[in-house]
Amino acid sequence: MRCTDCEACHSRVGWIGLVVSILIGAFTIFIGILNNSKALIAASLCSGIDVATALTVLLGLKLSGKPIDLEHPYGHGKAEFIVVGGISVLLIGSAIVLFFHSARSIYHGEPGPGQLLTLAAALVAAVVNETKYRYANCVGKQLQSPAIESHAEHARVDAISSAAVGVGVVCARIGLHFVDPLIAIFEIGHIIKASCKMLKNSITSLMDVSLPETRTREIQKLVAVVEGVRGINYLFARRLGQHIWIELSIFIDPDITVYEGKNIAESVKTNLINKLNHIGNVQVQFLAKAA
Amino acid sequence: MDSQNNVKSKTPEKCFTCAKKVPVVCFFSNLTLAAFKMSVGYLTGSKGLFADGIHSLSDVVATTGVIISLKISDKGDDPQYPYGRGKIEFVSCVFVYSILFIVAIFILTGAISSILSGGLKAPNLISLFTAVVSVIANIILFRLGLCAGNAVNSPAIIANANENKADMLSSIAVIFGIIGSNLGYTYSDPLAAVIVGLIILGTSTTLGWKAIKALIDTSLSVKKLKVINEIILEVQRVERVNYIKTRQLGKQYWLDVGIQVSPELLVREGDILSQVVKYKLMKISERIKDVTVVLACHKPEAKDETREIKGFLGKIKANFSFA
Repeated sequence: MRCTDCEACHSRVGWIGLVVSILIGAFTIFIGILNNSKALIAASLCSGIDVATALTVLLGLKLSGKPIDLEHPYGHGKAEFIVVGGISVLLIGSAIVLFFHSARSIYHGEPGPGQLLTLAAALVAAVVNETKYRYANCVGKQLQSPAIESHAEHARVDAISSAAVGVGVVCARIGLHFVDPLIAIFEIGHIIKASCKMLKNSITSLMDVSLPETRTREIQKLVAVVEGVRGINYLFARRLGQHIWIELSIFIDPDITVYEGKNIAESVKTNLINKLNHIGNVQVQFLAKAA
Repeated sequence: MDSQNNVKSKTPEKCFTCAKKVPVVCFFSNLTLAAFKMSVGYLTGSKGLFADGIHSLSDVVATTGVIISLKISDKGDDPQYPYGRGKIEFVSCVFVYSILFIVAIFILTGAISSILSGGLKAPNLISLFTAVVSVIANIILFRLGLCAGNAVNSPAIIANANENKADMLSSIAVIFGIIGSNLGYTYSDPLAAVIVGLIILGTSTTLGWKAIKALIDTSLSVKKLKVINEIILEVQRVERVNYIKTRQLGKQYWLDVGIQVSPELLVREGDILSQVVKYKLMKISERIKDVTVVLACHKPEAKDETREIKGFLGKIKANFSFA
């Protein structure tokens, strides 16, 4: 059930996620480099992914608020994909560099980080991420937002990976030095997988990929039920940032006036805007088709 | 580029076959040049020539990107990509220029630190010969790429040609650097490397920015929009142009225009009107991929009876003479 508290949390959860991820990321990467813990650096890159996703949400809100101008007739939503694409490339790059460092340190049997400071940092990161998970999970469940729920799941993974760093430190103290870089390599796999998914998503969106077929069918059904629509010539739906832009061409009776035709187009438009979320713009072209 | 929307252009068939060959030619010549310049630069101790070699190597990466993106954008449109895959060309441009940007920073820092640390020796004159070969080869590649790229309006091929131009300039800088070093000014060779780095930095930021703008669906220039506006208004019965939205899909442009017509016009007549507008706009250039014409009208003024009757009669008498 929804309550006013949950709504307040909903508006905050993005910002809190971003700030916490940046702080934890900066903290862990600093301690990780200082104490030469590969796993802790990898954990901080995981926080980097969180920063990217949180930034996407916030940037999307900001850019979609920016009015359409002469130079950008389709709005500014796509800038979001470029930012996310850039961040994911950076993350992939740093993950690869870290992989080579980790592999080298396993191969040479370099001493792992046994300092208690690293352990403390890992535990702090684990506790913070776990708290973040519980908070975001609560908001996501209450408001039934899949985006926030997946955000929460991510925080869970981060909490587990931070805890694993702690295991690495303990192992290093009892002489198992290879555990820390090994944990790092597992985390690198996770980072690369997540970043590649983000990168692929932003490239295909930049290329104006269509919405999945199930979604376009759903939209087509909403168009077809409107009175006066004789058929759909084509329906293009693409994502511009957080919003969906629809270009639609429908067939209508050739013997009515353009004014009536425009009214049909308007009701198609209102039907789509009322029934679907995140609609940025609907362009309806109407063509004549004899019955 | 400027005249492409004012003049109907015919692209000969041979240009398309040429455009297909250009990336392959560039790929192999740059690979050879890179290997040649880097090894000679290393052996003779010329920092400038070595940096120039790295520059050519980054061109090889760029050309690989062009070849791949052309393959993808040639696939055309399907339900998954209703607007075609042309935009992959801009994605590959952004990627390539980001790499170049990083390469430039490495070259700059390396060259500046070697100037500051001192103890420089003049490079052997064999390096001079190599740089001259590089200049000539790059002039040929640049002219070839620019001709083919402009003919088929491929941003990727034009970007690649500009790469070769930048390469040529950097090789010229290297020539001066080597001569200067041998005349006793030993710092001029790494100074040439600094210039090479700045050239790469400049091209990568300007061209990368251009590709980013195309990716976020930036419109044509206001000047071209005005031309389009004029053409639409020439069509009979178009009362007003509500909007013109344009964006670039790889080699081609996509147009959405909203026009206002009389509310009493029949839909079938409106259909013909839209077709005429579309036909006229498509005639401007073959680089226009598609035009979507959306009709709109103001509310018919029911109170004004004379106007309504006039509109009604007008509807009956409507005879179309589009040509």
